[in-house]
Formats: sequence, structure tokens, C-alpha cells
Amino acid sequence: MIEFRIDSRSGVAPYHQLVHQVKQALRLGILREGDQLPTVKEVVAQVAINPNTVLKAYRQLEHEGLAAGRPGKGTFVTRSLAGASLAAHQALRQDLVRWLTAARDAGLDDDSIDALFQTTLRAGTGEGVA
Amino acid sequence: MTAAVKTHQLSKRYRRGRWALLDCTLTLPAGKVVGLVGVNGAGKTTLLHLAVGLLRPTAGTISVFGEPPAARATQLARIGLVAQDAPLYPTLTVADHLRLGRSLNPGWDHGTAAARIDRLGLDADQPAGRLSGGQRAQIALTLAVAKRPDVLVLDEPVASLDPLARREFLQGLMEAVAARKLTVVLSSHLLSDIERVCDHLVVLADGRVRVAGDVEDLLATHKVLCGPRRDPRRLPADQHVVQASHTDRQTTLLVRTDRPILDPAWTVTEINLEDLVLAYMAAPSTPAERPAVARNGVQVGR
Amino acid sequence: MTWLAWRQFRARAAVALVALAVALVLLAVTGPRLAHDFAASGLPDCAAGRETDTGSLTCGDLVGGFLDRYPLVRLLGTALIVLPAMIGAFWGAPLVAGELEAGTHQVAWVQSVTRTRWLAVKLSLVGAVAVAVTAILSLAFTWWASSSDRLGSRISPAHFAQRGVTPVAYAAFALVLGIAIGSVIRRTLPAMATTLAVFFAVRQAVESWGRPRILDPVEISHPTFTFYADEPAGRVAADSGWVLSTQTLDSAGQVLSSGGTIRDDAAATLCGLPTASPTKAQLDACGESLGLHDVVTMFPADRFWTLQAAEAAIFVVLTAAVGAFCFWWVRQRIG
Repeated sequence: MIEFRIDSRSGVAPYHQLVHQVKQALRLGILREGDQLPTVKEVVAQVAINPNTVLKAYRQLEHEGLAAGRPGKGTFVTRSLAGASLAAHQALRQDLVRWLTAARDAGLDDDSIDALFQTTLRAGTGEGVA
Repeated sequence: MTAAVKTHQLSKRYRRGRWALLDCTLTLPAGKVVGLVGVNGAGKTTLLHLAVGLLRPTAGTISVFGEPPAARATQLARIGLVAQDAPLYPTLTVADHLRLGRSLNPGWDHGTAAARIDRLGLDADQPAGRLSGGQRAQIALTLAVAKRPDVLVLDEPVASLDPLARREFLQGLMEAVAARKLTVVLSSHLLSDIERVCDHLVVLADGRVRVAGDVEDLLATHKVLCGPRRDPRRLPADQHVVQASHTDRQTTLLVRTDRPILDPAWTVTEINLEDLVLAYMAAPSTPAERPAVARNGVQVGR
Repeated sequence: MTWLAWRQFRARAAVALVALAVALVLLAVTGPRLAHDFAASGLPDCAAGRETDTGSLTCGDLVGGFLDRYPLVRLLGTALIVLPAMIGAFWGAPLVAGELEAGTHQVAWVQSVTRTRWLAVKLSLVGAVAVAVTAILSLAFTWWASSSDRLGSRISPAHFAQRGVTPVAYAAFALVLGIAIGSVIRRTLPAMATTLAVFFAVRQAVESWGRPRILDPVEISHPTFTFYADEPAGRVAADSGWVLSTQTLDSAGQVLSSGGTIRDDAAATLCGLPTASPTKAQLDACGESLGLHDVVTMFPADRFWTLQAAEAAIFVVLTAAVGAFCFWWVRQRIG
């Protein structure tokens, strides 16, 4: 079950944050097709926000085709966003751990690693890498 | 949309002669969480007490779903109040307070009340005088919610609570709102809480309403304009200046408008809720009284 | 609402009931002894108007001495006088003022009960207990003092407020008075003090001005007795009741003194007798010649219950008026 967190200082509207967190969960396979999203009551009991905000976020997800409400039952995920198979995530994660270890051994700190990653990611996108 | 609370030129004056509230005309829509913001002495408690019948208007009218607040027992059943500092009977136990709710309210939902007390881990035989501030606030909230009101009024319910108690109180409050169609009117000077939970806003200053409306609507219609020094009175009529500040070369304005800003000289940015509220709390009430101020200064309203 | 009214009142009610029980036990224990002593003392003769045969003591002496042996009488009698005032201050004044001071009216008046109903239930409950406690105590005390009351003093102001139905009427009045003052002043301690002051002021005003005028007093004529003469036996019984005034008049109706006797030297002067030491025979003759007689304006003892009913009626009317004020003020003028 997904747990929401709202960062009131991020400048991002709470309902956007909720939508974003659902999408992240879908991408990482934490939420899968057919899973039930927490009820409005459960969400506001966890995070003290206006129930209408939650309703708005769920409506947005419905609008994007990611979720659907079933009357009397709740809101359920209708589509997943995990592009590659989830099994690939595990292997990729292990590769990533190995690369990070190598980077640290080479003397890079967290900020340098992040900068290296971001520039490579953007450059890769620009070249249309598959 | 139905109006939960409607006021028309509502005014209240106490015996000492100061007008605590003057000419307030408001429509609070049903089903929303309304935030009432203002400094101490702005008239928040007065307005809230008028809404639940603890005070009588000196002039003007107030109605809750069409009728005066405390006219009959059935009207009283439609309102709930968590008063400032959550007053309770110190010698009555937690269980006694629930019994009080049950015996005085035909609409009392004992299941909800008992479940809340249980979840909060409160000892039913503890006298209310020995509870902490956060616990008293939760009891007061339980009392108000379990009588199943249509309008729930809260007067600075979390002002004297520690951050954890405050968060737990708001969680409990939002849960109650999610459970049934409830209109909430909540006064606070903690803008971070207002931002989290409110979707309708009323700003009071010196007993008058400065601005009122849906939060989304207010944020969409208020813009910060920054540009070369300009006289605010030269702006188009549909752009109402809320606040103006100038340096010798630059003017910064907060305007309210329904139309897009067409003048290319302005740099237009959005405003966040906190700055919007502060601007209205500081602004004088009539357009004629808008003197120029220093760049970082804020004119204190009368 | 009844539950809440009782829950808030039960501690005070318990105190009152315990105190009442103690008082009743004391009265029950000492009552029979009092009646026995009275019968044995020779006072029944005084009460009937006959002279006693207890040797050198006159009826007047016996009356004073008898009551001195029962300090408890005085204590419980005082308690009965003070009880209505205590009810007003401790039960009445905090009823509304206490809620306003503690802010709990913000809980009580936002439940599904109007202020009128809230006040009505609380007033009825506290009022019922107040009336019951006072009535029982007053009844018990009236029974307890019934033998010595045959001497007729119960109609006098000192005892009138400790007997019969008037304490009950005082208690009801004091209660609504306390509630009213508390509602206006809004703070408990000043309200309590003000209630005590106003209550006793009103009681005193009614006693001094109202009570002598509700009914018509009786005027009785006696022969005067001079300074050296003894008060005749019949006089004690005849004067039993509430004496408003005594005047000594001559045959022409002129007032010569007020107080029931005339000084021997004054009488001697009027008759032309030597003032140094006139004899009893000379004084008696003088008195006869002047036609001296006392006119006593009084309420005789047998008017006790009529006077009680009248005074109670005054206080019932006052209670109703102040009670109506309470409801109006609480509903319309608070907030």
C-alpha cells in the first residue's frame, strides 16, 4: 500500500505531489494494475490535507487513464507505467550499486556523482539513445 | 452551490464601544473547509461566536442554512464548536463528557465518539482537568463531531498545541470531513495549516472582511506585477491594486484581475497563499488610501 | 439534560443531605427531652395564663431561663435563618456565573438544547432540592420547638424566619436571586457576596415594612403597672405574640409613655404626690384617677400561620419575578 507525504515547502501544489507520487509508485512497481489506492479517509488521516485535494488528485489520475473509481469499493489502478519488465529493475539496481561503489572508490562525492549522471542522462536523451 | 453560512452587513459591538465586526457580508459555501485568517483582535472569534449563536448581532444578519443560528434546538443541532483553548468541565471525566454529548444531542453518534476516544488511547475515567492540551482539543473535537453537525466551527484549535498534537488534531479533523459532508470554518494564524486544509479563505482585519473566496480562485486571479515605476491609479479599471510598493525606478504591484495582463512592461508572477494573505492583512480598505511605501516596507492598515 | 444538571450538582446536593441528616438526628435526639423539661418546669401554666407555683420565680424568669438551657436551639435556629442565604450564594450564584467564568458555556450552549431549556432544567433540579431540604429542616425544627413555642414567641421577628413555611419561600427567592445576580455580574465570588447582601437587605425590608402591614394588628388594653409592681401573671400570656408597640395612655387618650410602664416619680408628679417614695396604695389610686391604661398593638400568637402564609406569598411573587428576569437575561442579554 502506498504511503503519501506532502512537502508544504516545495512550492508544488499538494494534489500534484499526490499524482506524482502515484506515478512514481507505478513506475517502480510498488503499485500494480488492480491495486487499490488508499481511500480518501485513509489518506487524510495520514497526511492532514483537505479531502478535496485527494479527490482532485484521484480525478486527475482517472483523467489520465491510470486509475478508475468503482462505486462503493474504492479507486483502483487500471494501468501500470513500468515500461521495462520489473525483473530488469533488479538487475539494473545491482549494476547501479556496482557503478556507485566504483565511482566512490575513484574519489567522487555525492554531488559529483549526481552531476555526472545528470549530464550523461541529458546527453543520452539528446542523442536519442534507446 | 448552497450557502452554509450567510451574513449580510453583520456588525457586532461590545459594551466598551469598539466595533469588533463591521459590515461583514459573506457567503460561506457548504462542503468546504473555510480558513478564517487575521491577527488577534481582528474579529475572528466574534464572527465564529455569531455563527453558533453564542453572540447576537448588533446590526445586520447571519444565517446558518437559511435560519438564525441558535433560534431552536434543531438549529443548534446543525452547528458544532471547538472553542479557543478547548474548554471542558475539569471535574467531569472523559466518559462523562461523552455522556453529556449523548444526553444533550438527539443526533449523537456514540459509535464514532467511542471509537475516536479508543484510537486516541484516552482513559475514559480521567477527569478532563488532568488531560494535556492536545488531549483536551481532541475531546472537544470528538464532542463537536459526534453530534453530527452540518457546520463545524473551530476557534484557533491548534494555537497552543505542540507540533505533534497539532498534526494529530488536523488529521482527526480531516478524517471527520472525509467521513461525511461537513462544512468547516476554522480560524488560525498559522498559514501553513491553512494552506494544507482549507479550500476557501476569508481574511479579516480590524473587524472588516478584506477578501473572501475559493483558494484556487484567489490564487488564479491575483498576480504580482513588477516593472518600471508607475502610478497605480493609471492601471486599467479591471485590475484592482491590492498592494503597491515603489523604489525610485521600480514599481511592484499585487493586483486582482480576471483578465490576462497585456502590458508587456510588466513581469507577471504568481503569488503564494501566505503572501496573498499578508498583503490583504496589511492593505487599507479603500482604494483612495494607497500611499507609496518604501521597497521593503509594508504599510500598516488602519 | 437532567443527567448533566444532576452530574454538576451532585456534590453540593450530597453536602446538603449530609448536613440535613446530622441536623435531623440532633433534633430527634433532643426533642423528647425538651418536651419533658417544658412540662416539668411549670411553664405550661404560664402559657395558659395562670401564675406558676414554682416558688419565687415568675413566669418571666422561667421563660428566659428555659431557652438558655438549649444553646443548640439557637444554633439550629440560626442555621435555618442562614440556610436560604447559603443556598442563594453557593447554589444560585455559580449556576450561570461559574459557566461564564470557566468558559464552559461555550460547551453547554452549543449542544442541541436551547439556553431556556438548559436553565429551566438546572433551576428545577436545584430548586426542588433546595425547597425539599429547607422544608424538611423547617418542619423538623418547628416540631422540635413546638412545646416552647406555646409561649407565643414564634411569631416574633426573631423566630418567625426559623419556623413554618417562610424559610422555604426565602430559599426559593434566594436561589433565583443568586442565579440572576450571577448572570449579570458574570463572576462567581462577587456574585456570591452580592447575593448575600441583597438577600438580607430584601428580607429585612419585607420584615420591617411589609410584614406589619400585610394584616391588621390587634389592639389590646391592659391596666398599667407601675415601676415597683410586678408584672401580673396574666400579662405574659396575654402579651404572647409579636408586640409592635406599647403605649401608656390616660383616660383622655394622651400618650404618657411608650414601653408598658410608667415611672413612679412621673406618676407621682401627675397626681401631686410626694415623689420621694410614694406607697403602692398611693400609686394605685393615682393610676386609677388618671385612668392609666396600656394599649398594646400586636399580632397575637394565633395569627402565626396566617402571617406565615402572607409573607410566603410575598416571597413567592418575588421569586416568580426574579425568575422571569433570569430567563430573559440569559436568553437575550448574554452575548
